[in-house]
Amino acid sequence: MRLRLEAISVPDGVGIVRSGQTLRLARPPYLLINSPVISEDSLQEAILKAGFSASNVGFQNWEELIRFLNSKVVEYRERQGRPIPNSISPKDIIDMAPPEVVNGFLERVESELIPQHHFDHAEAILLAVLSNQSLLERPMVLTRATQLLRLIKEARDTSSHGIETLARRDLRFPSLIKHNEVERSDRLARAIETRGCVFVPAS
Amino acid sequence: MLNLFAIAKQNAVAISQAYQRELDSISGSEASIVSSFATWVEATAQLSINARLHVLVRLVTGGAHLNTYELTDELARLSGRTRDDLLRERLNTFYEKRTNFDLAFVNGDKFRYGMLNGGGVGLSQYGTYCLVLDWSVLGSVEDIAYLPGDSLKLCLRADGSLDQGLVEHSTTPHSHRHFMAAKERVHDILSTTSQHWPEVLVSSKDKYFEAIFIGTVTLSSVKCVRIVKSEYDRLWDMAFKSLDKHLSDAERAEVDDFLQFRRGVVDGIIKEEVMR
Repeated sequence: MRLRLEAISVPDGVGIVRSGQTLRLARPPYLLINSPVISEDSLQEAILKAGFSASNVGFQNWEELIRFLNSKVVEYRERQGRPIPNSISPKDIIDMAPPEVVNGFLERVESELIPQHHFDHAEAILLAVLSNQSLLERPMVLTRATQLLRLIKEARDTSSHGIETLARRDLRFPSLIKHNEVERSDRLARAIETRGCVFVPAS
Repeated sequence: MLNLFAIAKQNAVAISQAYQRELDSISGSEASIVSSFATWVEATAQLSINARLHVLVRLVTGGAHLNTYELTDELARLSGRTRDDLLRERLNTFYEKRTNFDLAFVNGDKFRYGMLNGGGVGLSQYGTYCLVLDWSVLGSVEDIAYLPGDSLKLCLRADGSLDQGLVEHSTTPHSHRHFMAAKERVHDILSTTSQHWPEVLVSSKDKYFEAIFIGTVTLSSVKCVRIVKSEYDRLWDMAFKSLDKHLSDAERAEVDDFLQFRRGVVDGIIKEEVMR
């Protein structure tokens, strides 16, 4: 076995994993950057003081291990009668976020979601911000959210205008145009349509 | 069986004398600084426990903090297995250490482990949420004993057995906690400014003052929850990502738990302090 789970905190899917000579903390979102190397001493501390349970399960690879940790969280939450939600609504998140976090989210809507054309997600966040009662006292936040909504509308318009332009120019077959084959290809297409078959009948 | 709190009480005079000896061994101005530190500890230091997010959710939803034995008892009720069987499985090679200490004392399976906290996040490697407790969590201030570090390192022999002499030497009652803290940290106190006294009290996992106590920890006994900024940011980042991407089960569970805790903050039933 390449990896050995030495300790686990089931409720949050965190594991202490031995990989060769190294002990690592594996925790959501299970990225290497979030999985620091820890000391042998820390293993004892986790089990004796932090509520981890000792474990001795082997895995061939990280995917297998992460799947196992995830399944343990699912089991735990079901036992507790608190199944994990399939998704979390923007409203639930924005309602619990303090104003400085909401500001940070607005920045990310502008710098990440809009440039990546994730307009629907961006709009859902902005609408959650605009409908949040506690943010009514923060006109700056609301103004910014409104500006971003306008920006999304413009970006959507620009994007659909671009698609229409492309469609009008009919740049779907640039190679045919380049080789003056458009007319011949058109004749061929019509013949196939009339025959109802791509194959020419044997004479 | 030993009584940890009675042993601590019996050690009060020795701790005072040791503190005085430290003051006598340094200059008058240095002694004044050390004495100010002791006064600050007595007036300011609080009792804290580091916990994981799911523990916090348990408190916010009306439950109580569970120690290893209480948690095992809960699992035993659900599974029908015995406490000892489950405890051995949970603690594995560390079973002897844990039980050799705790079960040597009267009510040792009711012990909770915290620390003296002067304003930081405690020891947050695993318990990222530092619960600062109200003193009223103690039925009586006699239900607490302090040690200058990890009791399992200070009081167990190399073979894992309990050394009663070391327990008698190391423990301090609530009334003398500030003398113990000052006498143990004279060098650190004199080499820093008062601004850094919280770090003198808890500086690393090998340098802190453990508080062993008996008491029920519920939401009403938590004065505030301190969180490291990087952890707080990580959770909000995950919450933001959940709006745009499909997160794994464990990630969604963590975001869900975090929002549950935040609901407690928004509703004003728990106070949050984000520490840089």
